[in-house]
Amino acid sequence: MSLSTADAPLPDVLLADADLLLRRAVAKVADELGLAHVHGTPDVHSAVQLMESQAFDAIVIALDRKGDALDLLTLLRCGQYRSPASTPVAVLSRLVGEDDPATRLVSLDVRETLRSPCSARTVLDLIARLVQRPVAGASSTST
Amino acid sequence: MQRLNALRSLLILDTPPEERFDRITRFAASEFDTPVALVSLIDERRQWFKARVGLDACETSRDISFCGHAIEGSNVLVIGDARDDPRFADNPLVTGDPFIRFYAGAPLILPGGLSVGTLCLIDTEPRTFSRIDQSILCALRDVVVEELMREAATP
Repeated sequence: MSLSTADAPLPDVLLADADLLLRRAVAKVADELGLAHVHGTPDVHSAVQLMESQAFDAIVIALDRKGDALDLLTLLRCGQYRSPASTPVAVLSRLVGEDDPATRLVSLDVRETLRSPCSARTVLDLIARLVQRPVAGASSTST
Repeated sequence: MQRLNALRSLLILDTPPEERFDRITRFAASEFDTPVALVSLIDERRQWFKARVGLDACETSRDISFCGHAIEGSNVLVIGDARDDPRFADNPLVTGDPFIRFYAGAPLILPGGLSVGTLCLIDTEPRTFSRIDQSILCALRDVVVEELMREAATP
């Protein structure tokens, strides 16, 4: 964790997942906590458009059966988007068994795979690890 | 009276369940792992549930409702253990079915500043609720308010 995170601009994170409520909750809370600017998008097609228009400091993307998300990551690693080819990536996956692309994920240097659906809190913690910032404000309130 | 007028202008009281609200309560119950999540609207005599997970009743009396307290403020009302809170310790919803111990309610504040209800969580066990939990609940609450306003804007 960097000691200067409080002064640094917030990292931009792409979150591509079909669940609107997950995207909304993660984006709002990440912003409130000073964790990241989360750019939510519902599918790979719109994620590609965002990737072509700006750079991201980290990417969280849901895998799809067609393999479009993996194709996006392949192009990212080839330096085809505005983000650096080494941009940290994590995936959300509902795929199991024969559809599980574990080998390809390793070759694409995917840092983490979370089983989807997962909670907003889980995704926030994931983003914190990717951008190497702490999730502040975890203290409890009872009244 | 202003608050009740704002609520009635939404034309949502006593309407059938709708997926756009049901999915929010399902998400909230799953996110926080609570047995009950509600979109509760408060009129002069009752709280009526537009969407509910884990509760059979479609309404309860306002004078014993937790949400009636939550709409008095602008922040999330968190009751970690209702048995330890003098406001609620002898409440029939605490001493009897559904035996509420934990409550967290985010007021549904319309753009004009009037609060018409809550998105709330209930558990039968005492719990803590972090600042992050409150932020997530408020994010979901914002979606509920957007949906309420969408309804109001529909001719």
